[in-house]
Amino acid sequence: MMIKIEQEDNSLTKGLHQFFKRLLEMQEIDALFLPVRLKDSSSIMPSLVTDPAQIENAVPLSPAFPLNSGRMVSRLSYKESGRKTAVLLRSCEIRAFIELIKLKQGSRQELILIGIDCPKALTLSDYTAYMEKDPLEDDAYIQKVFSEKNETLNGFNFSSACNTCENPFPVNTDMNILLHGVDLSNGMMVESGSEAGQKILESLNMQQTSMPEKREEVVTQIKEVNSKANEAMIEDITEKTDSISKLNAFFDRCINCYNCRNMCPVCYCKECVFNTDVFYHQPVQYHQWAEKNGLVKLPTDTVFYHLTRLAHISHACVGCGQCSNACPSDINVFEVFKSVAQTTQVAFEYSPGIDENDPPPLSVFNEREFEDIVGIK
Amino acid sequence: MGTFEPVIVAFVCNWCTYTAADLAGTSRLSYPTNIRLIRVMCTGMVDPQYVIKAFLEGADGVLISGCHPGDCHYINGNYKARRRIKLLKEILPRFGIEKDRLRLTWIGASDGIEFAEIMTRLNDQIIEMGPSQTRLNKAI
Amino acid sequence: MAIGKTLVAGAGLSGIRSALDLAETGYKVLLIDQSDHIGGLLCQLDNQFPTSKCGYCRMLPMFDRDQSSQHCLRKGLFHKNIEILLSTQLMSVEGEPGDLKVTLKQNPSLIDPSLCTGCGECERICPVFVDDPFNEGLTKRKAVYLPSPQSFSNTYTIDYTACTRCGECEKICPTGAIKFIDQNREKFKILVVDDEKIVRDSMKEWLKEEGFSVTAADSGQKALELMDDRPFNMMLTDIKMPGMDGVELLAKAKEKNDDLCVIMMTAYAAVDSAVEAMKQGALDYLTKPFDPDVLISMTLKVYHEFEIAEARVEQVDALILAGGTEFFKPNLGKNPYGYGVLPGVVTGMEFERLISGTGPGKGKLIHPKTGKPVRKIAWFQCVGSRDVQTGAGFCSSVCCMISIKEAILAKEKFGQDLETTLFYMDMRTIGKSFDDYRLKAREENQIRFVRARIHSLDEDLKKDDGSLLARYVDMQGNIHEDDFDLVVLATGQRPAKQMTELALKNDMIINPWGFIETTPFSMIKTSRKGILSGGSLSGLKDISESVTCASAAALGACKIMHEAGKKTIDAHAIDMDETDLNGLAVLARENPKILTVLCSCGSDLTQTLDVESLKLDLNRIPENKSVEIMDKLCTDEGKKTLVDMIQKTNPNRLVLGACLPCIYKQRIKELGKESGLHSSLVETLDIISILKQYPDSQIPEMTQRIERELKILISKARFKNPVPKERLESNQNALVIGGGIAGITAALSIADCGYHVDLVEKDDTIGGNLLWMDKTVDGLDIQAYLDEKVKELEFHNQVTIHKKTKTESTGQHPGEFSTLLKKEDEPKDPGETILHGVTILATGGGQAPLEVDADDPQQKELTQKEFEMGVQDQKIDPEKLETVVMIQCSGTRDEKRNYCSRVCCIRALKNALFLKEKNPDIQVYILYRDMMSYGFYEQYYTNAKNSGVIFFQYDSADKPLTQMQEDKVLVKTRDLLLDMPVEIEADYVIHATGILPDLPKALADQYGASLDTFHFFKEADSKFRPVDSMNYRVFSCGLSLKPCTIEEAVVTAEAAAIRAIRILSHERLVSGKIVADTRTATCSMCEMCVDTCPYGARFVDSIEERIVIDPAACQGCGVCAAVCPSGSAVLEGLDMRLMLDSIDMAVS
Repeated sequence: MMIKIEQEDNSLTKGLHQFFKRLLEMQEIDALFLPVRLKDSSSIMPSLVTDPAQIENAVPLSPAFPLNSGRMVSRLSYKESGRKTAVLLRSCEIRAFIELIKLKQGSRQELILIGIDCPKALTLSDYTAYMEKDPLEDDAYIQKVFSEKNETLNGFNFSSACNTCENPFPVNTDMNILLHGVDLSNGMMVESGSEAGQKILESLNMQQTSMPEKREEVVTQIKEVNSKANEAMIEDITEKTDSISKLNAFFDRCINCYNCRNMCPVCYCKECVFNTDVFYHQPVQYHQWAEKNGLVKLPTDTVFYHLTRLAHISHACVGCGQCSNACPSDINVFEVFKSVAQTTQVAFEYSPGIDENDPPPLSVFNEREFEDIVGIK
Repeated sequence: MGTFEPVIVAFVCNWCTYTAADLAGTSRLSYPTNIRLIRVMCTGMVDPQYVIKAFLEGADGVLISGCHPGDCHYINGNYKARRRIKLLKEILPRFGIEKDRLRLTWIGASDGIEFAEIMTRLNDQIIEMGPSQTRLNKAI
Repeated sequence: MAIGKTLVAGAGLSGIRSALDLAETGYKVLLIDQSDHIGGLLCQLDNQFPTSKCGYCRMLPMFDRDQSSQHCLRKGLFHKNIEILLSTQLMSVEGEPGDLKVTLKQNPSLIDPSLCTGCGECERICPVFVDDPFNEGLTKRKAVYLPSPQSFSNTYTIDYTACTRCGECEKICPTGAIKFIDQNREKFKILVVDDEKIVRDSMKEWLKEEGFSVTAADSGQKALELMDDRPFNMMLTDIKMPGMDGVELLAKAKEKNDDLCVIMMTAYAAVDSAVEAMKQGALDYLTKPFDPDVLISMTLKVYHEFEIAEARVEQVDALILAGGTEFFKPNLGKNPYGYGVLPGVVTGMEFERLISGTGPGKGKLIHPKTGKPVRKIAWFQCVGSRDVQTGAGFCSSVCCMISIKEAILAKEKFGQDLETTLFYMDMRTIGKSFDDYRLKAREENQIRFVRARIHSLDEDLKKDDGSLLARYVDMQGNIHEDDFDLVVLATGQRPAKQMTELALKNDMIINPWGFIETTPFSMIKTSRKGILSGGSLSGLKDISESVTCASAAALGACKIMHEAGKKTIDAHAIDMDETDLNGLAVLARENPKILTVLCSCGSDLTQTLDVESLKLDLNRIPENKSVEIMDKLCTDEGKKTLVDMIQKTNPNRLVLGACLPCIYKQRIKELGKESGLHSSLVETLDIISILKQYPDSQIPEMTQRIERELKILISKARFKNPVPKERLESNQNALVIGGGIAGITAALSIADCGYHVDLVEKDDTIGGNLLWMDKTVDGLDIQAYLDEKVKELEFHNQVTIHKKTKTESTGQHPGEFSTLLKKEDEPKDPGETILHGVTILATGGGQAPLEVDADDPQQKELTQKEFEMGVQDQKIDPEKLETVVMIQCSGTRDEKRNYCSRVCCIRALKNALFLKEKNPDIQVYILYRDMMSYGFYEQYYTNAKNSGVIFFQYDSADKPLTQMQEDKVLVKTRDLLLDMPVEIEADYVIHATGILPDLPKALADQYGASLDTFHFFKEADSKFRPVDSMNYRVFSCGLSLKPCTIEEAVVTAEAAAIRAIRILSHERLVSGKIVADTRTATCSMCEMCVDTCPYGARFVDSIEERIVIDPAACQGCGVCAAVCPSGSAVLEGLDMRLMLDSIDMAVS
């Protein structure tokens, strides 16, 4: 089922506000979770909203992407709350959340997942600069991104994660807000993706519509463009890190702050193993390492940490780019991750975040598989 | 320069490959002495971190060897290990640690001869590949 | 109260199973074997059907693991509660159950195992070559040898009969481990009687040189006088002597001393009289003139008997005979296949050795005679089985599967292009998944199955390359010829001679073929109380059946011990006994202080190692306090030096580099006791084996290697956490679900051993399938048996019976289940929750329904059950019938239910014989695919054929068709012999529809058990843990486990019972030292560890919101730790810190 959301006061954002308000006023929905411009500040942060009046401050369409909300939704849902919450998420956030569900870190049970065609994002530092410079109104931003297909925003490039995203269109949700291939001057569309979603849309009694003809073409086109960008990015990063010495150089500024893993939506551990006493070495250990090689850089275990993280979760990487955002040393962690994730996901024919019932590759096995990697001839 | 003597770390399972290694020993079969055996209970307990650690410390080769499919004392640990090795074989070459430096074999308890032969072949192949990059560029 | 003790005679597969079951329960076991190694036949086989895999190690104890071996069983076995005596025979048994006196004789050990380092010098110098029985005589070995190639202790053994006592090995042994007991030879008194002085003198000289005491006599009279004077052990007498001749002397001497060994000496011409003398009791004879070597070797043989240590008498409560079987020797009798004559004809066992990695081909398949590669192999089935001419009116039951396995193995190992053909009579794939296996062999491995009898086998003279020409007749009578490089004879089994003799000597009943006869409905009880039969002693069995039977025998022993009021040792108590828990806990808080000790093993280590650099390097590790070199730690003196050192320097960890016998676990425990350093804090390294790998010139390389290995151990030692694991409180009650014969037996067995049992039955009557059965094929009265058992059950004070009840839900917790029982058909029943430590699923099964068209109003087509009940109810009168057709495999062994139900062929034979008995004129036809009359049931097949029952084989692709024709059924089939269609008009058609299990998946899930493809209970290991599930507290027996006869159901129930009692007998269970744990603080509860654990040892505690572990279920594999990214799932004893540190050390 597909319904139409009209502009309100010539504004898409306001049109969406009306839609969200109606949702929140429904008996079945107790709260909304979506990006909100905080009071007395310009910061946009994901927020849990229960007061319909607060919807006015919601900013569903902006280049702000302070964190991957998938992990926030896991916080909201890992146990029963007795409340029904509708959550608005970007595609990479949904995919991250689905991965977390598989790891028992969250549940859809009390959620209505609302996806939105990704409005793209700036990197965190660019976003701050952009906001200081001359930010566009939300609607102008959307017009720019979606209609003019302008790749830059007041001179700022969108983050490389967004430009290389091959899945900016949410799947497996209860409903999706469609922006691409839609004549936005005429409003937006919401498509139901599940029975629950359909029921809600039905009860809203809004004007029904059908899939615009252009949609598929646009979607394919965006995917193609991003895919090409992705290939180029991977080729570039691979060239930069294809040997141990290059890898060392790439990560040599790493200060073991673990921000990348703290911001990674699929790094679900309460505490990283590298933060446990396993890596709390004896003083003499450092000396032994130094004696062995003449020198040892501290902190140690940096490349070890990044390689381990790749082994642990590259198969689940949703490509949101938050790891790079989080790095105080400006290491482009994301690109290394994405390039490896590509390989590991293909190797296990695994698409993270697509199907809840597709088990993580390291939790299952087949008796007859990968036989070619066994043996020494 | 003398011939290159590679550092090879072999994680061998307590039930099958370790027994085969023992058998090779008691049968007085010779195999390269530079292969360092680390006995584990099951190949299934070989954390990817152990393999990464071995390479980063400068190993030229890493072998994981356990029971044949179906023979695992713990029923299916070796299948789980195979997936993990597959994963590492996808990740490590990306950074210059060649695929063939990481190997997986099944060597049963009575395959003493096979154990010695495989160790010899592994050693020869690693010698042919030359020292690993991590030997020269320690990356801890 | 004393602790119960059982003697298990035979340390093969079944002996080990019985011994381990009892030992785990907490009883003491004396395990003996007449051979030089444990493990029996299976040590020679690397792979078993139907998995083509091995799983021998899966038999090892699961909880309190550190009390026993934790390695491949081929390497040997030890267990705290088991004493093992090898080269030992059971001579006799006296007494009553609970108080048996057993007499054992053990070959003296010429090699001190505590001194032998396995260096192999003795083997190198030994001049004697004999056939190596381990390789079935395909290779030679020395008279001093390693008993099995993989044995852990690695100590040499001397083949007593082959050894010439040349003494070379004694001289060369570097540790003085070999000692021929020469002083004993003086005690061996020999009397030489001959009228010729020169003979007397030279014999005296020769024998004295060998160290014997020799006295000579010139006449028979003189000899007898000397014998009055003092006793002799042996007499060598000439036959032809003036006065009293040798034969007369023999008779008189024997009167005086019956034990005297007499050897006759005679000229060649008079051999006849010597042979005559042997009939009168002489042991052997020598023909004059003889070679001194012959004399000496014959004397030594006699001396060997004398030398066997004094018989040892032991007091035990029960005796389990597990002597196994022997194989038919195909060269005895007519030898139609030229075994031993034609090149390339081998037995199955020889073939197993040929393809084994430890066999003569060292993993390559080469022709044993020509040495050429083998490309074409044939298997001949039923050699010495199903063959009255060789005295085998029985089927050996396992050869069909063994041959299929061998063919598959050969192909898998040596290439799929190998041509393999199996010639057979009936393919008896009688186990659960065996039919599948045959299908796989045929479809995937392209193994050719030919149903034919081999007509003749000869060398192919045309080819002249040693290939063999087989002529055989196919089903239609056509003669074929085919060439093979190798012919494998699937030789049948025979009873073990020594066991049969023992049985006869001890008044036990044996069956016509020499196997031990068991009592009705039992596969373990012999005719003598207190003596049980395990394994294939009472009939031929494959591995899983042997294991089942062995467990059942252990149950029998357990019952005897319990009834005799004997105690068990609690697992908890064993561990407490040598572990100062508080001491260890204190130790855990101390910083590691490591002492590293190297034993120089009698040599100067500084000659082979750069000791100074080694010390320097190791001492850089802060926790390593010192490195010491000591000598001969294997001697008491050496050990004392070490103990003194430990007490002086007071380390809390020890790293010990020495030779193998020195670092044997038991020795380390002793060392621990004496020095006060707990044995779990000692790490050991076999440095001698390492030293041997390097030539003397490579001191730096060798030093580096030793250093590296020691560093790995030092890192292990420093990260070792000595805190003992928590003990798991374990519930001591049992729940048995199902009140058929399996459930009844399981419940009674457990209750009889003193534990409370709840038995749940969904019907309102107890008895299951037995309720409708009348007699067995052997003529046993089933109803009488059932009545007796039900009465026993109902009056048992340890049993609570819940009829018309179901298990509504189950909670699983470490150490305990809680099950909610509810009455069937009473929805309002609030139910009753019972707590239990084990669960036995005995939910049974039944005959599959008949799938024929419903247009049979007169019910002329019946299942076997319907027919039998019809006769019992007198609805069917055999005397009024003319023709009965039985159709076997009706709806089974096909796509839908691809397994053999095992019981239907026997039931058909029983019914056919019954009909023939009641009405000799009746025509009975049995239409079959393969007659599965395995084991001794073969006799009923023979009887049926003899009494005129007509057998038609049919092809599975061309099944018989039935059609009603007035009041008869027309059966259409094809006679494969004549290749013609056949039509039979029958009064009744009896279909063998096979067995369907009745084990609902939901129920299995409740208890963490799983089902196989055919919905039977899935065993933890189909061979080695045949009644267990992966959940170590859940078992199954009877029809829910597999299709089986009544006695087979009973034996599985008994096996399930002892497997349960193993757990029930302990108030608290102890885990192994290497065991999983969870660091709750960092755990994200993703449950990956729970899902990956193969043993279900991890649980989600939803109230406390954390992952808990059943430490007794955990086997320490560490898969959970590898799957946990945060390191919250840890493997104590081999944790990540230790591993990373070891890797560090290994690479440095």
